[in-house]
Amino acid sequence: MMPGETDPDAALMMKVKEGDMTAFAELADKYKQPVINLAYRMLRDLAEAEDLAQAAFLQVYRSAARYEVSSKFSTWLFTIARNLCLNEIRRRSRHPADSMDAPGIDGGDSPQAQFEDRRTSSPPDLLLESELERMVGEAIADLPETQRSALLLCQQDELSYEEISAILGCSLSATKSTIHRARETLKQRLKPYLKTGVWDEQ
Amino acid sequence: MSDPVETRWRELCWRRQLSAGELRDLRAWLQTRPGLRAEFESEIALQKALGTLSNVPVATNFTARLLEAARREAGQAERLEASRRFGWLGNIPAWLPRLGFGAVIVVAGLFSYQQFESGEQKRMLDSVAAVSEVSTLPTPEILQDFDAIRAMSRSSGPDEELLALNLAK
Repeated sequence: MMPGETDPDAALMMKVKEGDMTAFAELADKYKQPVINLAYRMLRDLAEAEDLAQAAFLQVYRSAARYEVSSKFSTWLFTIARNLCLNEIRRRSRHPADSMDAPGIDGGDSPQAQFEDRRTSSPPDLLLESELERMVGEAIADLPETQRSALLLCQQDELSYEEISAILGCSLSATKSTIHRARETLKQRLKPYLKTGVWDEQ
Repeated sequence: MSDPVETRWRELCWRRQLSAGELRDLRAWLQTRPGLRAEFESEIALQKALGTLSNVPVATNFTARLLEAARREAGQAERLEASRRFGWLGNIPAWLPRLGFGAVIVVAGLFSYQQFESGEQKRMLDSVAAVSEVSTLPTPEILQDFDAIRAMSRSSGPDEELLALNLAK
């Protein structure tokens, strides 16, 4: 069975291909949170994570005309998002001081339409992350890029191990091995913070 | 080769936090494998720690900004396509309009000359047609006094000397 026959996102994407902006908005609403989460955990910068997520969705929109249902939409989207993260990480390593805030896509300084941001959580909320959350975030950030990607993609409910390996571009066994190594590193790093004794609680 | 049940439990622990029922089942399964207990305990603890990672706040205008950017991009793509179709107009060299004007003048001259030529030919054809319409020539008898008439027409005027003599008589 083709993925498009069971994947409702692929059906939405076919509508986007026909120029349906409502379908595009539906896809964006569904996936903006997991894509921004992934980008934020990869880059550790909220503004850049949002910019990168927007760039990923725009790339989806741009490629809509050529879209063929060959794999699940989420696999395709996360592959794009991960590749953009890799590009940004490489760019940072070359130009550490630059910001990703580039001019608009038309390259000019023309004013863009303004939309009010009624963010439910303000940036200071981020400062109120629990100590454990901060430590976990830092430990993930310190992982090698492939391990970080594998671990974060593994936390996405909608992605199977096969789909994660497709995004990473490696075999299933290599993917599981990478996840295992990432978790072992995290367990070592977070040992003082991990609460064991789950059996004793029951 | 690892036990497939062990692999299944491990991969489940990696994906999400186990429910109370799943924890009970895992605990029962581990009763006969005490060597794995510590490892699974740490896996569960790590997954719980990963669960503390909250969702990153997303701007409420994210989708609106995205749609605006997509529309802008679509417009830009249309403009690009139009310039690709008609962009060659911008590459016309400056001398080409002058060359075109000269070509128009030459064509107009050739056309006028051709019109003149065809007019001339028509006029000649009309003349030939008029001549061909004369069906009979006059008979030779009408030319018998031709010399006398011709001589009369050639006389330059009255003979003044002869007139003077006659008057003197």
